[in-house]
Amino acid sequence: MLFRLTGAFILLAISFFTVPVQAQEFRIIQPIATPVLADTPLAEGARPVKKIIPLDRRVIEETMQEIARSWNTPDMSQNFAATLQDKDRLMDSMNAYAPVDAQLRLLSIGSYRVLAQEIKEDDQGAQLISRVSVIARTQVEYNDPENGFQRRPGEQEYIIKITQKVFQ
Amino acid sequence: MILKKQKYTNHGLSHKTIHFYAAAILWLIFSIIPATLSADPAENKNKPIETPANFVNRKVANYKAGTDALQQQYDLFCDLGGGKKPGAPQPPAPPGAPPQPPPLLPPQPPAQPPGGQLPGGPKVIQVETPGLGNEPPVVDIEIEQVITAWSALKDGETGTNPFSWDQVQKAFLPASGNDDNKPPSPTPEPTPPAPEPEPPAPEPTPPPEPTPPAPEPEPPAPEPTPPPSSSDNCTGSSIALSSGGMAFIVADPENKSCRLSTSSAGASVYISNSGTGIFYFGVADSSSGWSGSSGQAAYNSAVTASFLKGGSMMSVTFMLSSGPPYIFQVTSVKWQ
Repeated sequence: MLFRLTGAFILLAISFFTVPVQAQEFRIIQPIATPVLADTPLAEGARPVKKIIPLDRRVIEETMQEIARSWNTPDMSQNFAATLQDKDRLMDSMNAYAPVDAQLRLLSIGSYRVLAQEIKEDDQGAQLISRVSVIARTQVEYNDPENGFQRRPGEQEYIIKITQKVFQ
Repeated sequence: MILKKQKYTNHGLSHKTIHFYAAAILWLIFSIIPATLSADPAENKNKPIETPANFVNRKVANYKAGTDALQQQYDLFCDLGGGKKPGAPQPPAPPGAPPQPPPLLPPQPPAQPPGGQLPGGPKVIQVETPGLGNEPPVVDIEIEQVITAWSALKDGETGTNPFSWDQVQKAFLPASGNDDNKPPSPTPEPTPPAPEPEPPAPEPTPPPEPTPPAPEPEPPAPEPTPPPSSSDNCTGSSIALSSGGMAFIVADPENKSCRLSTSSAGASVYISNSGTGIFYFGVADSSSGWSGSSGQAAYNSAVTASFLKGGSMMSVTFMLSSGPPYIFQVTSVKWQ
């Protein structure tokens, strides 16, 4: 009888140590509400890539330079996506208040990361579409008739959709 | 009554089972454990003991053989740009830099791989490294969202978002609404000109002058107005430069005023940021009639340079603070 009890105790002890021990707590994860932009599809008919392809920093620099160059020009609105907030009011403000010589200077580009990436194939070939978050430091510059040269620095996070043509 | 021979013990196991377990335990104790414990010392006795000197020599030999093999692979297959091979094109010198002397080394024949020429002649394989090209061209850009970053310029300042309609309005409103974003330089500007004309007003000069009539001091009063040279848009103003960027001073000798600009149109003086700790300055366009000093200076060091056009001479004191962002600032401007 004693032998059986000992065996049962050993089996119970072994089973106790083999059960995976998890640091569980009685808490519920409450996700922070964020814009759903990162989850929206990039383009119709595109399929997500299995593994995100990192973008070269030169591509990011060229993109940001292009954005800064087109600011306060007639081509400015051509770079706006349909999801850009208050883009019409922005163009109204630009037309009403911005001096002709006002320009946007790109001071520095900080970190960037690819949020989502998809590949779209059509008759013209394949296109790699990337949604990128870029931290950039910019400065609005213009000459005020009374106060002379003026600058308005700032730092922003840009969510940009970059489309690249892929040669196959 | 005949007693039956008891087959089982009190524990419920037969004697055969108990004997089998006992034999297995004894075999473990007397055969495997001693052999395991005595195995390592016996083997180590046969191994030669390596001295520290032999150990170091062996490691050095292995390392040298490895580096030699890598060097051979490099010489065979790698031809990277930017190498200091004789005859290779040199990068362009920044404006104002002293001319570089020609290379002293005579031209040398191309390096041969060890062991002689490779079959089929010299073969150069282009090494592809990330970030040096081969990136698919960008065909479209769409700005989906522009958010003002939390990392502000200073405490309590968030900066100007150039893609926010309300902040664009604020950015271009008269200076009253933009005190927080304005650089400290333009604000003090309006104040200095006011006190400046006053010191001459108390007439430290008139007393020595033998002009007795009192109403005459009025003509000298307008004279201080030309010195409003200090009321130019140049003094105290600043501009941010990127690495390799240029700024320009557009000076007007007739009105004795100047302003900073990022465009070379009508510029008198240029400032070129090399991004390597020094910046260059000089006359932007000699055909415009300007002449003067040129040279280079280190970051954060004030430089006073004079430029001449016609009968007017402009002495500018400026400096470029290290960055990024590299801030070019004009400290003072004097006209003579």
